[in-house]
Amino acid sequence: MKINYRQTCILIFLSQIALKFLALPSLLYTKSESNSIFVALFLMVIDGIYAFLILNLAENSGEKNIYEFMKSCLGTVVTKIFLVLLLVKFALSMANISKGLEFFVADNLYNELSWFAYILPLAALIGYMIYKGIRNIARVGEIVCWFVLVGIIFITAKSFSGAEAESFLPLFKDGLSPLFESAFKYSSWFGSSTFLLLLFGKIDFSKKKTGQLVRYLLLAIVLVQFVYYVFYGVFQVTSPTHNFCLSDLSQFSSLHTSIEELSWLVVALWIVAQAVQLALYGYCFQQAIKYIFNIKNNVFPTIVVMLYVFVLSLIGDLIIGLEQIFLSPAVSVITICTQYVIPLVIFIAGKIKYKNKKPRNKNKDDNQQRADDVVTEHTFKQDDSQSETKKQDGKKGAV
Amino acid sequence: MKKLKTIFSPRKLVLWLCIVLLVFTLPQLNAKAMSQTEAIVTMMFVDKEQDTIKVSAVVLAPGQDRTKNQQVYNGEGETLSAAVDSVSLSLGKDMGFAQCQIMGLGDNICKDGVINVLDYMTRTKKVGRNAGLINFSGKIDEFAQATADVNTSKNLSLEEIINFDKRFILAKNSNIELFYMGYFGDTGIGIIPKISLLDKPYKNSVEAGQSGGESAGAGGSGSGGGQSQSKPPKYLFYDGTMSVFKFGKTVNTIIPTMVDKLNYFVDKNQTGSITVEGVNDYLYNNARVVVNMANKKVFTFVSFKDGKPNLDVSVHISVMVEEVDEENPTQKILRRNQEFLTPELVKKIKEKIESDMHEALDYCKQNKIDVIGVYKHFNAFAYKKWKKYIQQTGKDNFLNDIDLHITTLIKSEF
Amino acid sequence: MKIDAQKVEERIKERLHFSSDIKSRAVKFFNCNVIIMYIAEITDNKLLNDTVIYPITSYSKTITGDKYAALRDKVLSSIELNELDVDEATDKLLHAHTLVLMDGAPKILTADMEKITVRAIAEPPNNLVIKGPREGFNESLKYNLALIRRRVKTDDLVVQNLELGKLTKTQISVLYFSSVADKKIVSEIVDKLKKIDIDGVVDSHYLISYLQKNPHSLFKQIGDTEKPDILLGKMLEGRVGILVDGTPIALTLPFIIIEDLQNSDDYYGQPIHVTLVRILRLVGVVIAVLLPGIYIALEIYHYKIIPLSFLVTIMNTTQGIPFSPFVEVIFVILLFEILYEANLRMPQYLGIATSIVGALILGETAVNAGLVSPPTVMIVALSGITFYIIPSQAGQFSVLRAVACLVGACLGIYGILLFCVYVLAYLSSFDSYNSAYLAPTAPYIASDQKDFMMRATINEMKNRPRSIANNRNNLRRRGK
Repeated sequence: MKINYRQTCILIFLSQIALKFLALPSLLYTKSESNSIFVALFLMVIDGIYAFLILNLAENSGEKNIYEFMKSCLGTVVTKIFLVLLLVKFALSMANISKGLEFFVADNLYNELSWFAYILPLAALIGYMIYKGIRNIARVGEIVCWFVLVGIIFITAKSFSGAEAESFLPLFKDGLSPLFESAFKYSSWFGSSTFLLLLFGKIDFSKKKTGQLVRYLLLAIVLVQFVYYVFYGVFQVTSPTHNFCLSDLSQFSSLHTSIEELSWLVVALWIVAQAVQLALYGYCFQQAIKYIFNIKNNVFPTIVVMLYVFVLSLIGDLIIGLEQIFLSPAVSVITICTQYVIPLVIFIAGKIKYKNKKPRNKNKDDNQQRADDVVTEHTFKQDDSQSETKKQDGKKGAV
Repeated sequence: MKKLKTIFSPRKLVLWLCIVLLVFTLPQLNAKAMSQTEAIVTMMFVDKEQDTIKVSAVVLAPGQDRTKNQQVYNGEGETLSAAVDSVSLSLGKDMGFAQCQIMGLGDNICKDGVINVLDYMTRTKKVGRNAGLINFSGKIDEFAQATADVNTSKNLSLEEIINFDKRFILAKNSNIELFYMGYFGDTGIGIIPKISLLDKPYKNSVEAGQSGGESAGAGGSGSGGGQSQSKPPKYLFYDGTMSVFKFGKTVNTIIPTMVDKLNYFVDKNQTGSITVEGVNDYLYNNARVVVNMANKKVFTFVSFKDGKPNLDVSVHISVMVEEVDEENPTQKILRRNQEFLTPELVKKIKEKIESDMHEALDYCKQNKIDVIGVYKHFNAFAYKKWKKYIQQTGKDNFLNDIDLHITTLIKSEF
Repeated sequence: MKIDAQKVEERIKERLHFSSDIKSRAVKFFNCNVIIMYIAEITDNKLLNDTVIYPITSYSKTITGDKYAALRDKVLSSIELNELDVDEATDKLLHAHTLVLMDGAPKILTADMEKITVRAIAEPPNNLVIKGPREGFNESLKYNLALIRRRVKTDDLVVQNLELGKLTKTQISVLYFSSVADKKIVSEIVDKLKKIDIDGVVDSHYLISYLQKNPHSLFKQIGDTEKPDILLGKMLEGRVGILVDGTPIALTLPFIIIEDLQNSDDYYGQPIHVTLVRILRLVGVVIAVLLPGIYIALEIYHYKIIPLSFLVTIMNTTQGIPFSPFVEVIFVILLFEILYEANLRMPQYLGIATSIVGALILGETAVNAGLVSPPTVMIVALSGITFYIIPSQAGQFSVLRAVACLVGACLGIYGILLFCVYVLAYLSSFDSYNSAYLAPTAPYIASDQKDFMMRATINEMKNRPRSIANNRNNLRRRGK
């Protein structure tokens, strides 16, 4: 089951905005103050470039999955090491989202919420979506995406008038070093294109439109910049105390104490988007396990992911200072390695290996797979069919 | 293996998880509405008497009579949490602060510092950071009762009373978040409205209940407080007085006339009125003219001249004559709607604004309170020089050497 | 083999267990015994007399040669005849054919003499329209086919007949446009129908569980309609229609969920208004399914979301109610469902009485007695009414509503949100005959947005919907 190019773009968009609207803006502020807006811009542009690189590679890899592709370029050992590192990256991202969501839900929505009640339905949902495959996740993402986008714009626009541009000044008052420190320390919140590696062979490029990808990337960047501008502009020096960017913004924009009903709708949609994002990373996690241990079926890897999601919540309660682990330099090094170095190595290796020839193997299976995809996703070429019809009609007309 | 797979197939696992969840959460099906199990606090007041913390909570009390929906409960303790717990005990319920709309801080606690109180209320008790923040003077239980009565007996709330008066220096709603912003800002200045309690009605005060004695008795008795049974009604009085906090402690109180003068530096407040005396020209005959100000725009420029900070403020306003008090008005009075803005009047208004602004800055200098955001402007637009300047003068005295230059542009509102 | 009419008659009667409604009439045709057999109740007597009995008995011309051939080619030439052996003829007899048995004939002659007794063509009660055709199908397959044929004058329309049910031998017609429908899907459907092994098909719904891919799913995966204009509209989009004899309900495949948000009225109305109405329907669905659950969640967990003034109102009215919000809502829902069921099956004049008793007396007294609170009654009533914005899905929605209530009580808003994602994920996971169930939203199909929430004008809808797996000939028409 493949996903089409538009769905890929939407997953990239959701991934780009996924971790950005909870604790990240306040964390960034602690290091680089309101200049953090540039840190986010810088890292998101890099993620965008990586999205292009990885998609280019995925297109040229034909029907090969990442394991086969890496094996052919780098050998089995390196491949497995890389996959383990990627596994760690996705595990960290999942932990990040899950913990963020848990704090958010427990803190904002409930007086008391047991970890059990939080994690059990979430694990069940993630398990179900992963088991159903990437197409399912992509379709849900496709539905949720626009509501989330409109919702976020709505919340942020409401607070826009309260944002003071002056609070961003002076720019770079301590030079650029805090920005780089910040980028290094919080790198695990970025790297939102890495998941594409695990989608090799699962994307249908037959309706590829590069402009579409550019549009979605720009949309994500502009959206994040807009929200960060309003967030830092409104909260200024108290920004580090706001761990839930969107909900705090919506709460502050309203005169009354309780968050307005419409804003709640947006916050609710945001939770849905986070769940979809968790499922996406969970899927990548599952795929990595499959490749590392050469498992063919989906059942056991899915159960492992569900258990991981389940355990995540437990660990958070048992290990005090788990948040600090995310901020440790070791984690930053690992994430930078997996986010930026590994894709680059694979890209270069792939380009060298398949310098002149594309590994696209147009065998029977390939065609069969495409045919299935065409029927289920309707990715048949509209223009072709229309032109055919037009030709026929033209003939009839001539007769 | 195959059997194992079918047992643990994710589809079935999902089902099992749901069943387990249901079993664990089943007691919730019989859970009562939270609004019944928690006492919903709509206003919270904190003060200190000697070493005892006193709190008063205005709590929603459901009943068919909407005019008696709010009741006051008092408590006290050595610490804030002990005081809040004592209220909770007297209520027999947990207190829910999520709907708390107003946090009131008494004069005594304001002098001692309020940051810990606010931290406890917002972080532990989850009072929203956009809850209104006020400073009150008078007895805490009487004040709480008066506000509860205002909220129930009139179609009016304390929040509305505060918001009606536009004479805030920052022209924003005073709330905890803004207070924090001031506190964590460079100068540590925070401003909140100050409301007092009067025994007699004043021109601008709001009567606390038509039958104050009767409704005042409707409160429960807290472990430390208790309700006075038939006290005469008290009156809330708010005239726009502001309490100034520096690093969480009150340092000053700004009277309304000074608030008006300080407001010229802030363009968020766009309205107001200016009174000029002795306007004497072809249209006015030694008149006292009150003009209404609208669309005020303030442009602030900063620079350094000879190492001294220079503040250039340009005030643009549109005005309209509201009231003219003169001897023997002639029929020229009828033409004023079109031609009221005479050069003489403009000159007088300019002079008035300039003198008021200088007076306001002097006031700030004297009291060492930067309520008009001088620090912020210089820090944003002349960072390096300002940093050096601050190192020389220190954070307390930076206002002393500020040179103020004012330009004004007066337009007719027509 | 030559036929002995009397013996064959005996044999047929024996095979049909000497059923009393089988009539036979013996006549002479040039000294030859001819027995005419028919089932009186389903045979058109006038037709039988005019086209069979009278021509045989009154034939006066001389015959040279084979009498059987003369009977077949000359005497009964006005009707369509089949020549069958005994077993086949017996089957035909049950299908309202009249058998003509003639001594010495090689075969039995049969002719269709069906007496069609059907109710008149009327507007179906659950597909009422303000503007648009009011004809509805009735229980006769022939009439129903006629309603379609009357509207379509093209060689493209294919009607493929099948017979299903070992005992009922029900006639089933599969209809599609050969140039529009996807051949693969047609053959898949026909294959599935042919494989059905069942005693009897009483209604078209008997076929549904054989045709849908997830028979246990809560959601409907096959469309149904009682109106020829709707069936035709759907067929023009590439769907396949199935008509079953004995039922006015036609099935359409493939089915996608958006079809339930659309109505035949939509295509006859003004586009902007239709767009608004469709949005209203979608909002209605959300209200119908989620509102009681959200109310329970807000009451139990999240009173802080409710604006203070509204909270005071709720608190004032819920004060002193002995039940938990969940029990209260379920109680009212139960009351509502019972009233609905009772009302549905009661004679009409009693139904009015039940409405009054239900709405006024039960509701009012329950509130007055302090058993339930007014907001609960209002919310359940609102949810109950909004169900019928989309009547065909009311059953599914009531199940979903119950689950949402349960989840809302157990887990609060967070649970309801996850429940929504689960439902979305579930719906996105299945395809109905190669058509994505949530299309054209997921997967997003740009060209189909013209007839999704917003409706473009008919002339703007140049292409057939891509959401439906149809023939790739997607152009509806040429021109601008």
